[in-house]
Parts: sequence; structure tokens; C-alpha cells
Amino acid sequence: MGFIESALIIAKKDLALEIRGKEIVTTSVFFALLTILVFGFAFDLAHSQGHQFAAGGLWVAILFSGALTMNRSFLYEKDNDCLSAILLAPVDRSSIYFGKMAANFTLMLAAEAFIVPVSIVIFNVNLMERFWLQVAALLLGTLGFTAVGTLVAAMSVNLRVREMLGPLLTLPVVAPVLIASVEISTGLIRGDELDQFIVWYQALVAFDVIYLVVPWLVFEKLVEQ
Amino acid sequence: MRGALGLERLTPRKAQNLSKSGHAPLPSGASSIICYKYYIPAGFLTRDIRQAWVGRPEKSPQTTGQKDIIRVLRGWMEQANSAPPAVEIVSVVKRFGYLTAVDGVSLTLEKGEFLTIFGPNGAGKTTLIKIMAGLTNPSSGSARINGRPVQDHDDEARRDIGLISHQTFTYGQLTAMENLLFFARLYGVEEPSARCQGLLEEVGLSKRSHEPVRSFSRGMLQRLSIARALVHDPSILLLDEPFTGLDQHAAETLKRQLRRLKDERRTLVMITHNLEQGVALGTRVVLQVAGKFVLDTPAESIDPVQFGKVYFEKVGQEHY
Repeated sequence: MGFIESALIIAKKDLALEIRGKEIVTTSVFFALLTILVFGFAFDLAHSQGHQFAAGGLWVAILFSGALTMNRSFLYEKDNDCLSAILLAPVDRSSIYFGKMAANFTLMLAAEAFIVPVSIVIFNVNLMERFWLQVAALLLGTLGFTAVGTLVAAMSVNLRVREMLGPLLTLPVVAPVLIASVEISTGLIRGDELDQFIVWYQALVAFDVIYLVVPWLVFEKLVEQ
Repeated sequence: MRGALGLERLTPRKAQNLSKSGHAPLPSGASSIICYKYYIPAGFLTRDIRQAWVGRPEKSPQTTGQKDIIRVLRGWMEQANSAPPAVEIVSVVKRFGYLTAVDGVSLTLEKGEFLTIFGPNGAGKTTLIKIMAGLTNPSSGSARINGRPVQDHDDEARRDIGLISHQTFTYGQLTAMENLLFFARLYGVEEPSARCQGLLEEVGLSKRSHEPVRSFSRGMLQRLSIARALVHDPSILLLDEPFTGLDQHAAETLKRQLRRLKDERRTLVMITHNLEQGVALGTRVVLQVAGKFVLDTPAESIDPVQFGKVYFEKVGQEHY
């Protein structure tokens, strides 16, 4: 069984579970939309400088919804101790991590398909004016966040305080990704030249690579009992 | 006895492995099982061959087909005679902080043995099974499955193990078929749909194969759990209190299935608290107390009436 093949089998199963239960996307989208609405009420965005807050608001909403997604993903494995059954299978244990991360990444992108249009309406700013550059920022930012969040979810799945510990561990580690993503989105909204913020793209790619390599190295040790 | 011949499963995967290892290739048409004294591929279990080999095993083969079978049988005999033990545990110790859950346990199980492990709660039985399954690494000592070190996450060793626990290892939102298909694909089972359908029929769940598992009763879940553990056709089955929570009917069904697995010469290791059941099913019995084996004896040597007394004496002496 190849690494990618087993990761895809696990990702497919996780997506099937979500399609059946609709627990993660429903709650995370709803939570994100509430966050955006609160931002909308807190600041008089229609009459003030909405573009100053739009990028931050968008990424905070994505972050909050993502925290819910990550927390939930390993709980499916905890029910009936399914993780043990997966660990028994003759597959590379890192592929379990990458399979679950791929599923979380897909679910977060699905949530963002709702979050971004609502943000455009509430913040009254066209976030997607420079479409492909913004899409690249969303993909890279989401990837980094998902990589860290999935690892933390695996670490905290057996803890009683996982609901609290997950975000507490994730947010500091993921801060560089969040900062780079906000800087890129702000630059895109302001209409800055690409040269002015390309360094943030580079930083984002670098952190993504780090956040993908580290779990690949440590996940097997992490799930050993 | 190591290398003893008897009932054996000859799956396409094993046949392929044998061919690779230089043994005679599997004649076309051979697929699975077996009977009587020799290993005979199912495709060749015609009436004539049964009579020729069971009734008159010394008779010289007459046809090319029979010669092919004999070549395969000889290969299997050689393989059987040189086969490592199904389970080999040497001086295994497992510590959790100050607690020693398994304390220097050694165990050798030959193919086809059915080991029943008894012991009070906290004796380290589940930890021992987890070490055999490769889910937990021992603090010291080694565990081998069919000669391969299980703690090295050897793929072939893991492929040989099926685990049934009181946890069902199933996803409630998925159907029985989806659950089995997921694990079948994870193990790289060929033709997973057919395999899963066949297993669901074997455990009597084919009519409810497309219902979400969360609607299943405890007995049905345990039957599904058996199907899941067998989906990759493991030669060794580890069972951790499989009768927990089952009603009388479901327990009888499970017992029947375990007897069938025993007849198929799979190696079974079962933890149970039911003395009568464990002695009746097993071929060998061990009693684990405070991480150590305090009794290791063939099941046939046990007097079922007296065993309860022996059990409480041993547990009382060592544990309380």
C-alpha cells in the first residue's frame, strides 16, 4: 500500500463521515459567519475604512472555524477506538496524519467558500478583486493552519481538556501563518504592488513546508502508546 | 508442535508468497481452503482427489493435475516444517511509570493454537495483547509474529494480525459495508467489495449491510467487528474480551464463529473472564496475575469443575 494511496483512503473516509454527519462544516461555517457578523456590528464598516479590517476579520473567522474543524477530526477516531484499528493496518503511520490533514483542508476550503462571499458583503470590500493572488493566499494560509491544527488534534485527542487545549496550542504556533496571510490579504485589498508583499508569500510557503515536515517526522512517535 | 501439518488456509496471497520463495507455483484454479491431512487447494478438492489423498495417501499420482498438487503439497510441507512460531514473546516487560503491567512474560504459540488468557482486572492482559498487536511497544523484550518483529511496524507482521476488542473499531455514521470496505482498502485487499460482501454473509449481516452501524445492537456490532478483523484474512486473531456485553444468543453466535476459526487452524489468543467458556474454546490456557503468568497448561488437562477453585487460589495467592 503506497503512502499517497493510504492517505487518500483515510481522507475519503473522513469526508464520507462528514458528508453523512455534516457536523464539522455546519458548525464551523455557522461560527465563522457569526464572527463576521460581530465584526460587522462592532465596526461601522459601511461608512468607515472597511478594507482596514476586512483581511483581519476574514482570517479570524477562518481561524475560529478551523479550530472547530480540527478539534472534531480526531474525535471520529476516538469513538469506538477506531484509531487503534487504523494503527494496526500495514500503512505508513504518517499517511494517517496526511490523510486526516487532507480531509481537514478540504473541509476548511468548503467552509471558506461560504465565509469569503459573506465577508465581502458584510465588510463591503471586494476581497477577491485580485482573484488568483487571493486564492493562493487562502490556499497557503489554510494549508499551514490545517497542518498544525491536525497535529495538535492528534496530540490532544486523549486529553479531557482537548476542547480548550487544542486552540491554546494551535494559535501560538500558527501565528506566523496568520500574520503572513493577513499581510498578503491586506496588501491585495489595498491594491499594493506584488513586490511590496511577496516576501509574505515566501514566508507563508516556508512555514507551510516546516509545518508539513515536522508532523511527518513526529506523528508516528505521537500515536505510539 | 512446530511445523505440524493439519488444516491450513491457502489464500492467493500466501500462494503468491510461496511461489516467490521458490516453492512450487500454485496450479491455476486453486483459490482457498483445504481439508483433511494435506494442504489441497480448493480448486482441486474433487471427489477423486479427496479419496486418492485421504483414503490412499501412499498411492502414486496418476494425472498431471495430481502431480501438480503433490508438488504444491511438498512445498507446503517444507514451508510448514521450517515455519517460525505464530507468536513468540520473549521476556516482555511493559512499565507505565512505576506500574509494571507486564512483568517478564515469555510465550511461544504455534500455528493453530487457541490460547485463552485469564486473569483479574489490572493483570496486564490487554497490555500484553496490545504488545502482540504492535499497538504498544514493550519497555524491554521482544514480540514476533510469524518470525517478524512486530514493534518494528513490519507491514507483513501487521498483515498477519486481526484484533477484536470490546471496542468495535467501527464508525457509527458509516454503513456496515462502508466500514468493511474502508479497512479492506487500507489492507490492500484484492476485490474488496466481493470480500466484504462474503464476510457480511458469513456473520449474518448481509441484509443490513447498507444500514448505518450506529443502529446496530451490541451483538451485531460484535459480529461486524469479527468481519472487520478478518477482512484481510489474518492468520492470527487477538480477541480482548469479545463476549463483553453480548446477550446469550449473540454469545452463542460468537462461540460458533470462534470454533470455525479454530477449525480453520488460525492462531487465536483470547482474553476472557468466563472460565468455562475460555477452557471449552481454548487449546491452551494461561493465567496472568500482576503481569506474570502463574499458570500455563493445555486446556485438555483442565478439569472444568476444579478450575474455578484453582483460579481463585492462584489469583488469591498472587494478587490479593
